[in-house]
Amino acid sequence: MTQAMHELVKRLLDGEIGLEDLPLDLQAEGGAALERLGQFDRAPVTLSPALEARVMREVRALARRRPLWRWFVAPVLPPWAVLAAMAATAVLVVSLRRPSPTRPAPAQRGGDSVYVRFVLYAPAARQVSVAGSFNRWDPQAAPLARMDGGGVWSVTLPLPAGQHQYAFVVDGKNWIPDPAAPAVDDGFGRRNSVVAVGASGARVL
Amino acid sequence: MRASILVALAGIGLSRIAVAQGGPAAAISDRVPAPIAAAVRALADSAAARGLPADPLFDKAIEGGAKQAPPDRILAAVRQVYGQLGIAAEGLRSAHATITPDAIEAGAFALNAGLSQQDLQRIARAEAGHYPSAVALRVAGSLAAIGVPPKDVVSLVDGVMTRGGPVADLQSLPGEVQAQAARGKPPWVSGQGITHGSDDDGPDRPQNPNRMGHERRGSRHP
Repeated sequence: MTQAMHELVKRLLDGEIGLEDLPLDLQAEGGAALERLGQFDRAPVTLSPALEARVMREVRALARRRPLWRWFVAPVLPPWAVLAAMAATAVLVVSLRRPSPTRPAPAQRGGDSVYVRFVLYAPAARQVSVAGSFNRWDPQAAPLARMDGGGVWSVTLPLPAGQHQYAFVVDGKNWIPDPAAPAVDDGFGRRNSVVAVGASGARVL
Repeated sequence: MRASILVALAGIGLSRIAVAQGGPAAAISDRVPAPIAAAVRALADSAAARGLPADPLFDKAIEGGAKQAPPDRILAAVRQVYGQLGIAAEGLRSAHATITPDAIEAGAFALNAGLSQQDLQRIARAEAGHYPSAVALRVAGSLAAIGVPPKDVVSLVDGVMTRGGPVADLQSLPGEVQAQAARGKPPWVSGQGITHGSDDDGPDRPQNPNRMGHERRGSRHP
């Protein structure tokens, strides 16, 4: 379901005007829109039980392998064996870093990944996605889901540590920057939003 | 001179590794017309020979292809990035800062956000303290992207570095500036700088939910 939103209410959500600046007949609608987004904003990011179970299985398996791993790198090994292990590890890292066709390729090297939730209020949109340097600007890679049939769209993505530029793609053709994030010139007559991801989470930098 | 040669060799090596691993250099063929891909590769080779990172050029071309920009516009945007990388590297060099691909990219980002080469040089001198140039330049670029005027960007960054706090203080600067601006007290207007650990507004006022971000602090990736 889509709904038209008064231009003044949009300006209210963009922070350009306050609730008290709205005409009396729009204040209820404005208050409701703020409340809707406020509720959504406070919604915690939750992981599915299946994901948690899978992660714990892998953690336990890793813990079981650890004694063997320690034995493998123990200093009692001759030097040639340590060199062979390092070479094997290098090959493994290179092959793991090769992008998979089903997952967005990391844009920057190293560091932890952090879940970042992207949210856009676009009540008239039929589809919304987010494309950026973290998924090679692929408009199909990260579609947002409409929340509760309303105008709020959202997706949570694991982003590698580093600075990323991105934009929302509305209805497959309209590239718009995130109104809540800093933005820079994209060189194509539009703006890209900027987000930085560190070990402690996403931040403006 | 030796450092420049080493950086150039490292750049060429890294660009070849990127191609081998299916990095942006390999992806470009599927995303932009062949003549544009060839022109971008030529620019990337030139960049690598100058010790500049090549990946930002491929990334910009891929972005242009995704946005269905006309070929000449894509090439112009890639050339603009190439120019910014060169100016950033020169700025770092003249500031006697350590020249790394990350610092050059950060400098190009800051230039694109509105800073000048002189601003870059002033900020890059931060390295004389214990602040990596790449971090300081990314912070400066983010401040400019928020809308802080360039002269105030330099002043704000200088202010944090002069206090000699941890790098984390520098990294949190854009967020603090944005928070103060949201409260109607942009530090670049008040001239009072950032006030760490105090808030004379009392309890935080509820923020506009749209302003609270369309990106969210998330949990660590398992």
